Amino acid sequence: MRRFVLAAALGAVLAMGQGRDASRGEALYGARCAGCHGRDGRGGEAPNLHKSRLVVLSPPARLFDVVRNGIPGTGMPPLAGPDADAWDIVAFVHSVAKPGMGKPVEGDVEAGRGLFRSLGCARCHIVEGKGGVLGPDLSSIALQSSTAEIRESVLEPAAKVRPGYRPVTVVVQGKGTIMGVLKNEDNFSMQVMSLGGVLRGLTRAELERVDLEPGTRMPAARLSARALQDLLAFLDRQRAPHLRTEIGFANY
Amino acid sequence: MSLGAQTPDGNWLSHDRDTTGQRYSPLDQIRASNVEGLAAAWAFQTPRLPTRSETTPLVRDGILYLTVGGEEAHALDARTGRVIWSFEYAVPPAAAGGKAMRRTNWNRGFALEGNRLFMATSDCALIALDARNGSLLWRVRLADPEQSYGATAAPLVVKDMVILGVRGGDTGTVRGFLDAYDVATGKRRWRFNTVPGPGEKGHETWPAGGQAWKAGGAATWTTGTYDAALGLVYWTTGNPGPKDYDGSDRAGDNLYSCSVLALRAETGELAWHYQFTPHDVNDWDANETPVLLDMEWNGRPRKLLAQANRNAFFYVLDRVTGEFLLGEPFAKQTWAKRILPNGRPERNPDTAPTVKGNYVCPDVHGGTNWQSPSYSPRTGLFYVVARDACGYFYPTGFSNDAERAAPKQSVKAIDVRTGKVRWEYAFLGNQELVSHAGTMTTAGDVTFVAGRDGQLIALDARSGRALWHFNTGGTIRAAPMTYAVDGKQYVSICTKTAVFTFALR
Repeated sequence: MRRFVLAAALGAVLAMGQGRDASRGEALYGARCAGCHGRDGRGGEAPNLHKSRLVVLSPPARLFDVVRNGIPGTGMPPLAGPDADAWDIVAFVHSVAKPGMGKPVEGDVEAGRGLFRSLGCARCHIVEGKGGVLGPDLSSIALQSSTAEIRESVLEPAAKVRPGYRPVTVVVQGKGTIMGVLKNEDNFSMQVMSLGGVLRGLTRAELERVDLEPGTRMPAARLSARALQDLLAFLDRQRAPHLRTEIGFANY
Repeated sequence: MSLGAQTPDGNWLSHDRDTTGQRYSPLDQIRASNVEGLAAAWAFQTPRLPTRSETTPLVRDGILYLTVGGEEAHALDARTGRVIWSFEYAVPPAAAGGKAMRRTNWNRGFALEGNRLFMATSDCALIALDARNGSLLWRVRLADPEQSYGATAAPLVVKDMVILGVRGGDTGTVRGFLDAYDVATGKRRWRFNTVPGPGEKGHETWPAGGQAWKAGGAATWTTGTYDAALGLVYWTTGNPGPKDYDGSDRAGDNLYSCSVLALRAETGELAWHYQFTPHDVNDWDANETPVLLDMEWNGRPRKLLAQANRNAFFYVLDRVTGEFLLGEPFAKQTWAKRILPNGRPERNPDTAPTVKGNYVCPDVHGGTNWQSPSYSPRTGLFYVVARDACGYFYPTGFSNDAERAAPKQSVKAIDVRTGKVRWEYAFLGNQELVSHAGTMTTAGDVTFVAGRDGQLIALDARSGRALWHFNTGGTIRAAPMTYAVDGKQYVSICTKTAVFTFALR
């Protein structure tokens, strides 16, 4: 009986792909995947894995299934060979393209939490279910961006502005001026969030003037190395599992 | 102030527009006289497809809020359909061992309070989103999906609480309940168990010492209504369990299955109940909308509750006391002679399911079902998508027999005062597939309804004459809604793959 339980447990562990070998996966990836997805996984003939919903969001078993069986009707072929090969490829792809797979960022998380408040970050960003809405929700930022990307956003926020957060000022016929961020636009309409957090749908016909400003409404933080480390440690803990805004549909 | 008057004309703030369940809009720019000029304004194609689309969008101040199944939501510019934000719910990962979690990926929409939106999710949780950017604010699990509980209804905001029930009453494992949560924190304020436990009032309607009540069903899988002046929440319940069609192990009325409950909003205590179908053995859930309306009744103004029930009777109750006032069949039925003056049905003999199959009307799908009805205070008519059909019932299930009598489906306009059907608009073509598309009525005297075949149809609310239609090209299992932005009225309907919105050219 006990032996059976152990065997069953071992089977479950194997089924979940434990004991995967990312370095072996790297070699397999280079031989079997890199031709289309690129050596760094940033795409080529085939999609950029760093932006793939399947890679970034789905549990490993889903990615394993696609690696193992391919995607019928597309150029993605099934992988010949043992299941272990596919699991190792999954391990490698996740290690390079899925944020939050590395070691936790070092630093004083509580001090970082204090900085997040005292610097005014919470006025525009939500973490832990509270905060402002003018900037992106950071509740699961560590699962969406690498630490390097988060660091860049803190120190140089204008370097990369997410779709939906570009500064805009519009003058609406008979309704005055609205300053805010541009959520979406097309040839006939614009959707704007005012600085006060009110959403507005506007038709171009009623706009007297549109000023799309470069950069971002977020000020660059000037922090000591220690403070930056603490803030990054705090942000690295923001891994709310049930939140997936702004992935995939930004320009829908 | 009349019922529901707190909702500004152009907004649609709750599943049935306001908390009355009337699904009636005071907008009248689109009228019976000009509705033929309705044209497409925009469409929104949903990125992923849910199992079914049963959702009604909400609109407040020009922004439209849409759920797509229990795992996705969007905020759109209500004039153009352009996306403002999108939310994707990350379903918790599969349990250890890799077994996928049981998901119920259909959903009937949001509730809205201040800057918070509330929706049920595919894993039987209730979540709050920030209406401005779709951020997840809090999440609470109502019950375990592995025990067959699910949550698919649009929640209802009552004061500073959000109320939501559960589905699963056909699975033989569920004991129904209704929950109220704090809008700000998600903390549970109260729970009402719809099957009373030992020692509780109503438990005597279950076999003494038996176990059936533990899986007694009475699920709460649709949206209720609320009367702020009375402080009462009205919620309806589904069939009893553990077995839908075999009542042998649950002798008795099986309270509070197939009932409407009036609960005190503050505490969740039961003020009164009315059971439409005592000891149901036909899966005739009473989860149809309990519509609140005020009208003169036998010479004096009364606060009423009206429901077109799945058992094919139309009911009017006094919603202050629960007093039974009227019960008239609106669809084909053979199970009851009549509803007695005390409110109990007088059953015909030999209507219980049999091993050989007992032929009873309505069939298992009922005289109607959860699809939203509407009521117009202008016409005094109650508009319901009805089904005239019969079927065989066995202790183990049901079968329909289209050869013996082909099912008919139609919109029926019921005169609330008499319970008589004033007019009927029949859906043509094969009606074996059950229609779950609801109705919506406006002050322009137009009743909008959708067919199972994908047609969105505008009917003259007074005569039932078809005035306009549009083929959306796919199944519709939702009800239309209407709103206005900058003085222009729009009508929206959700299909399986898209939202279509119309306005006058």
